Amino acid sequence: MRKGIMRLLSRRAAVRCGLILTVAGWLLWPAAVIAQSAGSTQDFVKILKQADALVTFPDSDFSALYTFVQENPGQGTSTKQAMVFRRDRDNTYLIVIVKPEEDKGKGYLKSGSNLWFYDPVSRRFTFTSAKDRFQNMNARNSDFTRSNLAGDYKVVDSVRQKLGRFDCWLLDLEARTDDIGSPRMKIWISDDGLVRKTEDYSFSGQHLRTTAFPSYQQVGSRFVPQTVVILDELRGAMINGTFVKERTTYTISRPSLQGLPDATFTKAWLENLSG
Amino acid sequence: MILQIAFRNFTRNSRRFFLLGLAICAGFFFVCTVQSLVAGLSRQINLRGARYYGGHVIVNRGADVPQSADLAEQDRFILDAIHRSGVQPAALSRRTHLGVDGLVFFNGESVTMRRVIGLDWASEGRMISRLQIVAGDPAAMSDPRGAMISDVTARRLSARVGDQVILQVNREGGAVNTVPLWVKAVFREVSIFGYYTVYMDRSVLDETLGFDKGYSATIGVYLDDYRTADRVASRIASAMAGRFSVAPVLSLMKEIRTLLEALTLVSWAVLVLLAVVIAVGILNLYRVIIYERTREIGTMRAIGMQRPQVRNLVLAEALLLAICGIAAGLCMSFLALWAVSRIPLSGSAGLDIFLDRGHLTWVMNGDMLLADAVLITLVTLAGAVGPAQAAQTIEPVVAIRSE
Repeated sequence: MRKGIMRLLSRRAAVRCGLILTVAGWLLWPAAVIAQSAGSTQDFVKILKQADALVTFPDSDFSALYTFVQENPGQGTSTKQAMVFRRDRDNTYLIVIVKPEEDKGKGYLKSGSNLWFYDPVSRRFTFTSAKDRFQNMNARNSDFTRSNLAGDYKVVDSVRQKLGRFDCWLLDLEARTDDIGSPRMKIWISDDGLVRKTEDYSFSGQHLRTTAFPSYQQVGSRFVPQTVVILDELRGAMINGTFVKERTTYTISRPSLQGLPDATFTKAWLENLSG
Repeated sequence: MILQIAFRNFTRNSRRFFLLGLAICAGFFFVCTVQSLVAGLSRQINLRGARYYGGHVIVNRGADVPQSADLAEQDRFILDAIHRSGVQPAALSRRTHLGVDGLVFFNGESVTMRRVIGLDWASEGRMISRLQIVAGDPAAMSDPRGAMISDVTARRLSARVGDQVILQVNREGGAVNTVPLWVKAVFREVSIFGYYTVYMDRSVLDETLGFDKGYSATIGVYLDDYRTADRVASRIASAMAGRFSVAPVLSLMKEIRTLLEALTLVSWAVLVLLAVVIAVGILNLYRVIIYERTREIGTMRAIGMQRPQVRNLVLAEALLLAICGIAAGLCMSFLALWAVSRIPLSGSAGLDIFLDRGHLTWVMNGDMLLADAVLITLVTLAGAVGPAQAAQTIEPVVAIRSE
């Protein structure tokens, strides 16, 4: 009798427990999801901040020689070289073309949100936009400024993905404001925190550009890509029935963190360079 | 009676008046031809400008894009002001346009657009269809995803009717946006008004730029008579009490307006110069004629013609002379303008904006012709007044006695 009562009680208890657990589960599940997603967002912001930090030089100046190779399908290849001087703490850069001879002395000076292009022939500075193409190539003027992924974008989706030999987070980014040139972006960040690939999309979702960063070189405690490959998804030509995209490849050599004189980031310096 | 005698004298002694008539004919021919050509140039520019900017008078909303509620209020205010100004528009346009930020892509090629025009096909289709269409059907532009591109753009992109092109623009803040568009028609238009222009649906352009779909940067007024644009603009402007800027379309093309004004001024200067030459010529020739006709006038006076009648006879002859000279000048002007308009001038750089399908056009405005005719007639009469006064003073006895 007593055993029967106990069995009945334990069965009721089990049912009650089950009910309590189910209700608790239903109640706690959204909270858990919110907590998890909050944690994920937090993590991704951290990942973006780390990716920014690894390629930014807040405590020193940066200079390097950039060699650009522009491939226009059906039209051949052209090469340009430029010296890039960056002072990330002031959000400033100065770029001066050193090759070919006909473009030598042309330059760009970015100071805060202002960007000027200097033409040594007319000896005049004209305003230009960070969103414009750099020297009619597939790189943009904004590609040479410091990285601010965490500030410019929010993560709207994420997935783990293998990119070649790299285990990466593939993040879908959306610009936080309407003044960011690429309002949508897919970005592959490897587990070492470095950006390995990006895809730029228009506001309506049109794929505009793919950029690959196959390898990096270490400069002090930071990193600089060795080679960057940019594919324009809209520009190219039909070659033998296949659409071949325009491509810009640039290599970065002679990176240096040596301090630069303040005068480097001035219009006068750019003018003096071309005599 | 005087007119009859004058007519008989005029027809029986046509050789006497030939030189005078020729001078009047040449003067009227020259002025009429130049003014008709200038009017033709002006009409072409106004036609193109109105098509390009969306009307003969443009109301500009300003740089700030208003919120939806303000937008509706602004629309009501502008339309009410147009109504209050008493203007009867041939059509109204609502447009959004974009400057050099538009890029059109097709098959890897890209062309920077000088102007991307978003318009309402339902209200402006009639005006835009007058473009020279070289392929496709502009009526298909009722499809919101349709686009009309120029033949120059089509050639550079290797795009044809039915192809899908991609338009890339920068949104208000600067973010890049794109929209696929189907080429519905290809038009041919001259340099600044068309080479790098694309016409598309306004609401689609607004959406792509991040504006409210009901937004339009301008409201344009098409007029039946483009020559009234300045007056209409000032009437609408005063009805708006300075809230929005109102401008005739030519004021948006300052250099061209200056050129047209200079041409008009030159043609009037030539008219005045010719008038003086004609007046002096007629004065001298009439003096000779009156001298030659001394016996004739004396005889008329001897048989009872009064002094004022003699003066009126001379003036009536001058009037007939002016009428015949003007009529002949008008006919010659018609012929010359017709011949000039047949000459192909397509390749002429700088002139193409004034041409209609490669040819000069001309317009003979009734009021302009009337003004010219009245002026030439008055000048002729003015030249004849002095000799007519002299003729009436001739004494019959002296006149009959003279050789």
